[in-house]
Amino acid sequence: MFERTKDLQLSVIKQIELRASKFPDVISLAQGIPNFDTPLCIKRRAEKAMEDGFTAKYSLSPGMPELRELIEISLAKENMFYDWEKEILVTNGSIEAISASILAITNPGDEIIIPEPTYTSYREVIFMSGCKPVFVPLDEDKGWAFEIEKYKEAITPKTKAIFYCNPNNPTGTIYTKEQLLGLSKLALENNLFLVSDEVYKDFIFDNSKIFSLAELSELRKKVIRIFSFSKVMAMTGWRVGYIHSDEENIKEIIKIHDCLTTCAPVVSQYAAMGGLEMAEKEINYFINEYKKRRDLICSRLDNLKEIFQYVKPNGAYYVFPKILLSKNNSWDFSIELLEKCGVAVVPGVAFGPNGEGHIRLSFGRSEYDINKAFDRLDKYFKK
Amino acid sequence: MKIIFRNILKYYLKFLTKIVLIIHRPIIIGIAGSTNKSFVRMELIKILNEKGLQARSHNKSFNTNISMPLAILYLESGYNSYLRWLPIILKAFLSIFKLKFPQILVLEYGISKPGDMRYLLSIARPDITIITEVTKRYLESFSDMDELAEEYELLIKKTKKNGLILLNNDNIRVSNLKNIAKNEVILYGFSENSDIKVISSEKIELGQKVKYLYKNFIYEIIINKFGNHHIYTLLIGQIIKNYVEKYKKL
Repeated sequence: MFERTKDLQLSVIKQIELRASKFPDVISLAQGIPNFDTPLCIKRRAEKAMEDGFTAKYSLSPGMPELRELIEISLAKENMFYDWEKEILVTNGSIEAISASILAITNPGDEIIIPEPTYTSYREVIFMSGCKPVFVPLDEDKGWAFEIEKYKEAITPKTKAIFYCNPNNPTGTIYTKEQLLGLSKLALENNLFLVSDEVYKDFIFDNSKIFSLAELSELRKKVIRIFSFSKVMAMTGWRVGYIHSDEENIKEIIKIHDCLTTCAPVVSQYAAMGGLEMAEKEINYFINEYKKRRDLICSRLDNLKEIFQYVKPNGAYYVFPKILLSKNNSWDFSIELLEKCGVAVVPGVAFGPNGEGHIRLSFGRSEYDINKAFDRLDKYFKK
Repeated sequence: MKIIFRNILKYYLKFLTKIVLIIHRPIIIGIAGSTNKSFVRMELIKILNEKGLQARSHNKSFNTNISMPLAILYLESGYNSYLRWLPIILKAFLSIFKLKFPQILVLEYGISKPGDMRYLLSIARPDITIITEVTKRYLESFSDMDELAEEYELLIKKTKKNGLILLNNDNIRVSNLKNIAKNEVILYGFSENSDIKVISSEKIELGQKVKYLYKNFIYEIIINKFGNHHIYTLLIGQIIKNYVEKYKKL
């Protein structure tokens, strides 16, 4: 019984949130949810579609043509050229995109390499697919960078894919073009897929442009790129995202997508269209706000130098400080912060073995929440 | 309140747009169809500007009944904010007095329910009409495909005298529209009897290699994009390029 699910766990982030809900007046820096509401122009687009009676029925399984056209146009602006009809698939957020992709490209028993620390749910999806995650540590001393040699060592005849998140959750690292090209060389040499989760690609704080391997036409058959509207447009509840890759891959992934979900919610597809058409101004506002919050959280961490040491994040909205105390078990430390300070954080071990001894703090929360949480931490540690 | 404001705005913008069109009399290229309108619009603007003509379109599709006036007057939408609409309302009025206006407007005739095309045509009738595809995409708000096709039939009928009509010859609903056209019709596509016909297309690493026949010449071109819709866009672009060269000689 329950062979498939016996090794799966409810995400540690959700476990922490569940525990936190039992404490009154807790401030959560745990869940990666933007504190903003969905922009009005997006809500209006969805409302209008509902008023016109366009949202009651399924869309085509790969998504509404109009939305996929808009996605193709937005990708082309980022130097990625994909055919909306055959190479772009609208999904129920990124987690469905990840699940459908992994299920489509693997067979049970295959191995998938994941740089870690990284997003907790990757491990569960890989287990669910009957595959084995192979963790390769990122180098904290080099700003959580890839070390290509370690990937080479991790590849076996069973390896099917390298699966990474860029910018990385929880470290906020943006992988350089050189590092990514190193990975792509390995993928081509060993006939591996590269699954690139780029849901935070808009949240870049140093004016640089993020590079994606999906820009390289020679890699189209190898790269499966995943994106979601959840973070960038403050639409986590709408559950809408997309995958793009060469048609050879998409025609297989769509079979799984159809089994899992039939189609992404139509009302959310209209909302996503509104976002792509009209939300540029709001997105720029979000990016500026997150930059301010990143600077705020880093300055508050600087005041606790004897407790935390961190690599300044350049992307996403997380910081992943190391616990400098002798008792640095990340789970115990997180529970201590929750119980003693009323501050919810995510234990680093949730993001892979290399995350032990760290915690993840989200600055997707408001400046008020960040300040209030750190006031409590200051008081507790300086006691 | 909102509905009253929206209706006043709709007629105000429509009125001003019609005045502006009467004053400047631009050539209007209208693109209609269920898909591929935006790709064609962007390609045509590129071609026309390269040919030294002042052409303009709006790069945003607002999908409301004020989309076309905003596209013609080249104004942003105020969306749901009365405050944001105030300067736009003023700018719309001032656009009557603007001396500079493009020679060519490239407009999307997007429809989502019966009667939409009639409304759009009451604002601006195209000199050149392009129909890309007619599919079941919007069938939800139409009783059947015939009702949807009627919208496009109206566009064909209302295309200005001496204008040009470009029809996708691979879609039978679209190509059949030639039977009611009173203007010159050019059929494009992969199908045998197309006026501009794709002989072969091949997907390559960098995009697509396309060979096509037009006016007894065979052309071979590589486009760095994927999908048949870009091949159609290429054909439409070729026709318009040819048309513009003739137009510039006049």
